[in-house]
Amino acid sequence: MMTTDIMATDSDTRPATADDVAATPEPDPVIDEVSGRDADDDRRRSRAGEWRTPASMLLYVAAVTCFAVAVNRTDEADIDGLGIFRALPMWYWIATTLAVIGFVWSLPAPRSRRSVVSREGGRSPSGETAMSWVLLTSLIVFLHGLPGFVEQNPRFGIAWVHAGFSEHIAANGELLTNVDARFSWPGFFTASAWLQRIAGTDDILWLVRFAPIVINVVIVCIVVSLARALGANDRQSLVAAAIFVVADWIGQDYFAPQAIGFIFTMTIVTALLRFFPGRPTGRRWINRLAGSASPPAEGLSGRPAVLAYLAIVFVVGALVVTHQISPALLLAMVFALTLVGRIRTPAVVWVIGLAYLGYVSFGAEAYWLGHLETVTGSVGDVGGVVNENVNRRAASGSSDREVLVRIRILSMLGLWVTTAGILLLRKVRGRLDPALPALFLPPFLAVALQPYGGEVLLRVAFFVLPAAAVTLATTDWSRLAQTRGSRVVGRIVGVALLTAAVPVLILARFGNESYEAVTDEAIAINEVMLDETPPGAVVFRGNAFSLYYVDRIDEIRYRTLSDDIDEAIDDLDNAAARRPTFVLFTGTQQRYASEVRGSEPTFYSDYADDLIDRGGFRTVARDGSDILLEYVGSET
Amino acid sequence: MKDIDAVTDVIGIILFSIAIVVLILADVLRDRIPRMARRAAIAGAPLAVFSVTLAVYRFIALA
Repeated sequence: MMTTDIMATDSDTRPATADDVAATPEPDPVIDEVSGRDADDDRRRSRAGEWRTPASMLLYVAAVTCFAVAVNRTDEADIDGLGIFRALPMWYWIATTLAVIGFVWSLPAPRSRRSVVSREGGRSPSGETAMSWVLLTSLIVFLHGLPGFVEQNPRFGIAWVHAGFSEHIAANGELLTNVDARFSWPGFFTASAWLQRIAGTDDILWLVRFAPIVINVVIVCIVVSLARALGANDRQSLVAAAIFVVADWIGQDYFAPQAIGFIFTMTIVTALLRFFPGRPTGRRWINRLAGSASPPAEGLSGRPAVLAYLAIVFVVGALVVTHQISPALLLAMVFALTLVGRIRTPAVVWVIGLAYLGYVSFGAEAYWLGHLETVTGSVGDVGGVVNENVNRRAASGSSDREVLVRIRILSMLGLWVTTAGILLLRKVRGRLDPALPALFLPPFLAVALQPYGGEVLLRVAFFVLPAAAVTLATTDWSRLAQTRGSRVVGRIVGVALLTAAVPVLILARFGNESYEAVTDEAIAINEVMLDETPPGAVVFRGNAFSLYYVDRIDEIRYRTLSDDIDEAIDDLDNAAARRPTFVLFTGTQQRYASEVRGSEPTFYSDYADDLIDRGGFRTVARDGSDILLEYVGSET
Repeated sequence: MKDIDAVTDVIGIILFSIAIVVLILADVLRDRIPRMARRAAIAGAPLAVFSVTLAVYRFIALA
């Protein structure tokens, strides 16, 4: 939580509009006195601003230097059950702390409404926030780009899968909708295939390593814009962005369609709020419930409005062909914004809904054909979905794993409860902008629809984060505490809270690195597998935490091997009757099993030995935990 | 009930497209020509409902 000075949202600090300028009253003795105070404030701020920028620059240079030293002294081999956390030297924490201090100190001072109107017409000069942006970007690099600097290879096997899909499309110009459901939403893959082609590279892995940095920078720009659309000033908008950066442990910002889906979704929502804002009235029942206070805004009209609307529809089109679940969440949020009268284009709800339904119905037919029960089977089963999302993740693993799961659940619930509490307080005080609950609450409806492979709560957490960040950043904490601390105290508390959030983020976000990092050994055994398996082969894996679909996507199928050896042999017999059949165990699979399921450290090595003892297996390659067996048939 | 011919699909896609375009007009013309925007909204509503019905029919027929 931030405090008084950093997040203050007084009516006198909100951005001014043309209406405010026009409404400036005639000279008045009282106002003259206030103006005199404003002038004093401005002079004081000006003096403070003289040293603020050079000091922030020095802190930035020091932070980058410490980060470089930290990267140099981090050994990937030290990654353990708490992920990258214990592998990081003290220099890393110094670097992030310096960046946080620099960011907080570089924030523009809150201006009085009157001085803003008179001097900048409602906008701070761009130079004043430049250093804040630089330091915010450095925080993104330090926090979300960290594995890209300290790990041998681009992290996360799923990102490699996505790179494989893109490479296949770039090389062959075809979608394999019968191989993987993700090909039914090819927007992201075809775009990255196009990027690969124009870059003239053999694959797109060069983008995978630092994709989280690029994606987070884009998201942060959107969060700042959203905050402005919701009435925040420069300072609050930047704080909202910083809260997003330190609270986004969800890890959906890697090289993946959902990351782009999130960017498109928030872009559409932000554009609707900025360009087509509505004026809710307290007379409607929904606004009596959800609030009716909203910042004055006029939006666009005439030809610019038409062009902006068509641009929004274009992004909607890009979204529906990119990701399965994002359009549904967008639809829920835009519907809620329309319902509370916060946007003035009600038909856009139907446009989004029809585009989504039309694409799913005609474009993604291969996905749902014959699987409607899977898609709709969990509708209304909130308990089942929550169980799959929470209990399965909290299932018995290593002690480190339990710590990580608790940190994630507590930080997620803490953020949700705090945000909900603030919204409730604003409602009670009659100061609730209905756009905030309209953006914060609808994503939770997804819990009632689909477990989404046990990940729907993560998606909910991701989609509510911008609204939560803006809510926290625009809260006047001094009023809540009934105190008004000094500006310096506010900054110190802000630094302390952001700094304290950093280790929580590193633990929650990169706690899985022991099995999500892609090691040289994982790449080596994958290459052996690709070399040794003939076209049409089926490869059984202990679990999904190894590389797959990196190449030869249309030639090799992947299945998960049962932990029950008799059941596994039956499955292998069935497969071997039709296809060349292999079994692949890797170190990353083993580490996943040890951390998440609490399996013995040699579980898959022992399992491989047991399979070999049963007969019918040929050892193709074996190096420690990395084992490739060919199944040539049961002897019994 | 496991077969939907290509003509039905083409009609469906055209119907969806027209409904979307009409509804876009309803929003775009709201400030400039309110009467046309109202007409577009009135025309778009049944088109949208019919499109949704068709999609649901396809889901049930093909799933």
